[in-house]
Amino acid sequence: MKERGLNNVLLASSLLFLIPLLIVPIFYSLSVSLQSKAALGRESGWVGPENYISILGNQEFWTSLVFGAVWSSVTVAIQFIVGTGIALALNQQFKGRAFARAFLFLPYVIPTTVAAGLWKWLLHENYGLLNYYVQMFGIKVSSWWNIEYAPLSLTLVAVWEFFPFVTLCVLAGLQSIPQELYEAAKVDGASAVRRFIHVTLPGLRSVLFVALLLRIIWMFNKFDLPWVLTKGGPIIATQNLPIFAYRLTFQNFNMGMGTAASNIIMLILIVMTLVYFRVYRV
Amino acid sequence: MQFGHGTWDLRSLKYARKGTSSWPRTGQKNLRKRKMRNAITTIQAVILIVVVVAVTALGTYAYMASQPKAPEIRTVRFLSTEFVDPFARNFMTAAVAQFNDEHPGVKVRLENVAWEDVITILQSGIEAGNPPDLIFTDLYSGILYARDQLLPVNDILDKLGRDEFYPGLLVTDSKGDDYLVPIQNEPMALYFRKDWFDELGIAYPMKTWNDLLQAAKKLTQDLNGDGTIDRWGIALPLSKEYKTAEDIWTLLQQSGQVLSDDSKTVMIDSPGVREAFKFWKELAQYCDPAAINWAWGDVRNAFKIEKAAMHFYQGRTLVEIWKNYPQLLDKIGIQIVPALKAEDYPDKVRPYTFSEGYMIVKQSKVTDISKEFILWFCSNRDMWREYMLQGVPYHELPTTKWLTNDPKFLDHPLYKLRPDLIQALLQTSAQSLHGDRELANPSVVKPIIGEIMARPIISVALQNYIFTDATLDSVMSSLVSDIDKVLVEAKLK
Repeated sequence: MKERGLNNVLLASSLLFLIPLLIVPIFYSLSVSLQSKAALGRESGWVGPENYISILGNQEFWTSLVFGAVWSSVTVAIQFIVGTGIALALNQQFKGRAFARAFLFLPYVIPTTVAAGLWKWLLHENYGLLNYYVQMFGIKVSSWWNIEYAPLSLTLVAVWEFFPFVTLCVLAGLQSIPQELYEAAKVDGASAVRRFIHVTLPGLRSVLFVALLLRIIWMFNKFDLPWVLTKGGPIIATQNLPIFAYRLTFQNFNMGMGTAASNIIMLILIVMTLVYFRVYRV
Repeated sequence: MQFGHGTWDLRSLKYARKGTSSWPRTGQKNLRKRKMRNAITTIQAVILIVVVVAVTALGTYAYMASQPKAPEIRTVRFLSTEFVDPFARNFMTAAVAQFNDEHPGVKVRLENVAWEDVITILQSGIEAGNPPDLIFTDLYSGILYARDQLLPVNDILDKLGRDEFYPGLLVTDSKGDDYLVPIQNEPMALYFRKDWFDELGIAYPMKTWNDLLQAAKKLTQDLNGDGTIDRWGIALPLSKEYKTAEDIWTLLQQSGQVLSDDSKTVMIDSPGVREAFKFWKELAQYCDPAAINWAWGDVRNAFKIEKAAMHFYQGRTLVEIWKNYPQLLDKIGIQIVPALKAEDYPDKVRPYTFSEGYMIVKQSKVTDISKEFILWFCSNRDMWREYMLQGVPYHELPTTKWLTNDPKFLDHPLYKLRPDLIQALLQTSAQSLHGDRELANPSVVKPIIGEIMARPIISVALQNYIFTDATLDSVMSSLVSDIDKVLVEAKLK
């Protein structure tokens, strides 16, 4: 009972901070999205759902949504494949394992804008190392940032930067799987692949659930990486919804529409999370 | 919940009469009592936390109020995008410190921000009621004026001598109010490799755009016969950045106009402008396809590493070549951008520019100090000249006649090496036209053009036309519609 009383006290005190920091901005943003609020001091007025209707009727919104959904899905899938593979390798005993673990985590600790700047140069058509080596094999790419290759280049950078997060989560999860299960499976004659499918994956289920959810949300919401690398271009070839919302607010100077776009992003992610939790429970 | 002769269990919605077997037992009565006690404890704890926080806050306020007050210092928040170069930044930081020393009771606080971030910072600041007081930037003068965010600076220009300024570089509205004190000018010039022109027997200067196109065609070469172009005729920016619109602007102005004099009608879809778009698409054939992502630095780099024979730029390329690629200094030429007709070259050419300088934000509560700072800086001609030569010399060009004619302004090692190039830049500056003024009628300032240029409207239209299957009709239609939206939002129509 005393514990329950303490729980209530702690909950109440944290709510005191959450309400102004979370609920108030959400309501404010809803309010702005229902106005024709232009930036830099222009008058605003109530327009109701007009901003939302205008955005949903804008072809650029749907293009950005499709690109964002496809890009985040593909990127997350590759991050998981690469990250899990590396985690399995790092879970083995070998000399220099500690160093390898630290080294492979480096991409994740580099600030995103620094990583983007680094890859912009690596993939530069005139100065880039990648083009230099690729041309040795007779492959000529005029630019890794043109309409054809920009989405691929963006995916490469995103995978490089964020696979260590998956590696870390999976590695932590692997420590919690009892070795006896593997030994029992070996005794039963299970191959490495079958041990992975029937012992490792079930053991990692809860870790993968959390990691997958977080990665999807973060990649869908990603602004800094595509903005620094391509600004959503060329044209809108790599424009996702956060960039679309940013452009509406800070390039078209329309805060009402930009906020409406941001709220739509929030709604999409809330629905996706609810569906995800539902599917996981099943 | 007690009701009548029994009690309702609110969870199961069952009613138990007193005295019956379903009447709550003693254990359940104690449970209710315990729950009540917990609820009271929680409420007490919350009240305690609120009281502690309130007492702490009040105590802190009382303590602060009891402290002796420091003398009031009026602060000016001075936001600039133009002191990114270390020398310019250090110079201006020292200048601001000197002003603060000489003026007790006031403090100018310099904040340097990246050029591409300034409009976001301004928007956020204005919305939050905390904008900067004084701004030093370029392109955004029009957009800030168009949204009534700027204070007129007529008095400052009058005190400094309005006639000293090149009239084409002032932002003067239809009522005769000025909103910018122009300090430096960055007009667009054309760089070219003289040595390659001589090799191929191409005449220069290129008087017409067609001359430029033919030169670009001849200069695009596969030098080693491996089927790959090693040298491109021209480096053009073709990304969504503002630089893309900057490069084509002079040609657009020579070919047609964007808005009517009253800024209410979009006039960009004209035969002349359509020809300009077609010309640019043809010219882009002689540019590296990677230019789809190129902006300022990329076009300079392509020229400096000898991948391109020409590019449009201000003085910065020359300074970078002088400092980092001195072997190229004798091989390059600079000229005023071409004209549509040979007879107009060079005297009637009005190269594109957006003069840069001080603007005072209307919402500011320290406009008097901002004005004082501007007058202090501009009245000190030695300081003004030194500032121009400190950062990127001859990239920032004079906005005033006195500085153009000042022999000390030309007393610089770079001028001594290539006086012809500097003279070409100075001529470009003297003839340049502020982007808010259209060539069709330069006496009229259309600040809304600044807002159109601040959005990637023209850049995206060019990208669509050059790199996709979009027809010119559809591109023009979208362009007119996008510009129209800007006018509607600005309540101009």
